Amino acid sequence: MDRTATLTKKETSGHESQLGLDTKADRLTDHVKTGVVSQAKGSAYIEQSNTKVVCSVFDPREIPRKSGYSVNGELYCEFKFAPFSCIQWRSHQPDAFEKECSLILRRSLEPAVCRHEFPNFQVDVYALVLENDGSALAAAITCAALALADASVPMYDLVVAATLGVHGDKKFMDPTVEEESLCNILPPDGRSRNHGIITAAFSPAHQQMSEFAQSGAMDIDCATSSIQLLREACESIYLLSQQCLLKGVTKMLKKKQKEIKLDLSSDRIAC
Amino acid sequence: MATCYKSIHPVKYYRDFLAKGVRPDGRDMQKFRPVSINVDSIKTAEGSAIVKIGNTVVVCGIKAELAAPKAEEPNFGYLVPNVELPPLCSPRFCPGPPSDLAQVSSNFIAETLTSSGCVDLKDLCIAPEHLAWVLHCDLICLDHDGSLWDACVIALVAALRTVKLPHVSYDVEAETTVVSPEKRNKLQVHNTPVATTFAIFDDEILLTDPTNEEESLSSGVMTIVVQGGQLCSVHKPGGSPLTESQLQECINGAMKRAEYINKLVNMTLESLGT
Repeated sequence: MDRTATLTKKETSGHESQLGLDTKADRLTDHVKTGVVSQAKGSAYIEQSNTKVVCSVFDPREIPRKSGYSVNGELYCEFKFAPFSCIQWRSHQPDAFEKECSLILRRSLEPAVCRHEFPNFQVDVYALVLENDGSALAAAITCAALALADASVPMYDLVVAATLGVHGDKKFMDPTVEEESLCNILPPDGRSRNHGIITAAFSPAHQQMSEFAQSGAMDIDCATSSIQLLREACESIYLLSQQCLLKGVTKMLKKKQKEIKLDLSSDRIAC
Repeated sequence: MATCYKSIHPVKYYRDFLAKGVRPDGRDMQKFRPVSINVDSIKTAEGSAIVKIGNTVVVCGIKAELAAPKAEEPNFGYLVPNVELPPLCSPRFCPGPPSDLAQVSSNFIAETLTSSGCVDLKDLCIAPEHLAWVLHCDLICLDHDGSLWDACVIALVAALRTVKLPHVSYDVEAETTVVSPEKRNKLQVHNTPVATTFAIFDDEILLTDPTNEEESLSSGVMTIVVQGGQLCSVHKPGGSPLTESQLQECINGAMKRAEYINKLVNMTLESLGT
């Protein structure tokens, strides 16, 4: 049954690459949810097509092994693939790629967090990819920002990210794993040498870009037009993220009201 | 008011509740939390399952690889279970090497697998001495709210039952391997063990399916694994002693639970249409 699923997906991706620029706006963030991990201060889960990422954030804690005073609090970010999330089985030890992704995750989130609010403390952010079908890092960045907001960490704005694959004159928004590996190789026809993957993180409220990570090589025109595309894609994710947070807050408020009512009645009984 | 009392004296808070025969989350002593199962949702794995018991969530993904069997066991494949408790699931865990609990859990799951004989390792052998399957069974806890092992065992067994391995033929003479991913065979799962955890509160009260809070406040935790009406293993690492009748009560509870869980897993797998 799962065979047919992957087959149809391959066919569609093949079809889309013929079109050149594929506009899979629907593929971007099919499913977002906050408050999924009960033990964490804040958490979020994102599903983008088959890519599944869960992220949780914990209470600030003192920075371990630090002697000096730091004016700004720190973010500790960890990005991890589950051993079964990729085509090949992954070992439990974090590899170089995961470490690089952790760093990108931190760099993209830091500008959005009011770090002066918790000097000398660090906030832990953990992202886990349960299934990787491309654009896992971008999903993790969006997910982590939502988890931070869910944990009520003071922030200037949300951070949303998207990935674009470039292969010759074709551009793939939110590429799948197959498209990602295609974008990592030089186009064979020799007309254009542009190839690579761009992951960019934006804070739309301030029209700022907090992180730009590019692999491969491409000319400047291609890079700038890609940024434009990514920015537009992020707008739609931003709306979804905001809606998701709003839903979370209304749910929490309702729960709190109920609790206050219960607490008052229990106090009355106690008296 | 109630929240203050709870944070100042959590044990007394629990005692007050238990004296009335109810737990703070509204369950009575023998009541289990709701269980939900989702199978085959991770397409990159050969088999997978997600199990939720109350707030506790465990994901199991099984990846298959090919390897040469061990020289001393040429007819056997490998089944490598591993329990991961990432810092993501609870503030109790720190990043770095696996915690003690994670290692103990991995060992418990490995022992449960071998003692219950739910997968025959001979089924995983393709060509004796040359080629065999390695099944990496990775269990990741996403939310640790007690009764971790119950969720792990359910997830593992459910995931194993969804595993479909591609057909592999091995030519001994030419030493060539031909994998045909279109032809897939289901893995034979012979037994379905089910684990049930109990917490012992104040040396005498038995709490079925404890939450994280109940586990940490109790004076002992016990896990019973049963399969097909038989006792598979009892894990009771220290803690307060139990009487024979209490133990019997727990075993009876575990037996009933196993029936219910197996029914649930069967139903989920049937709904998948396999």
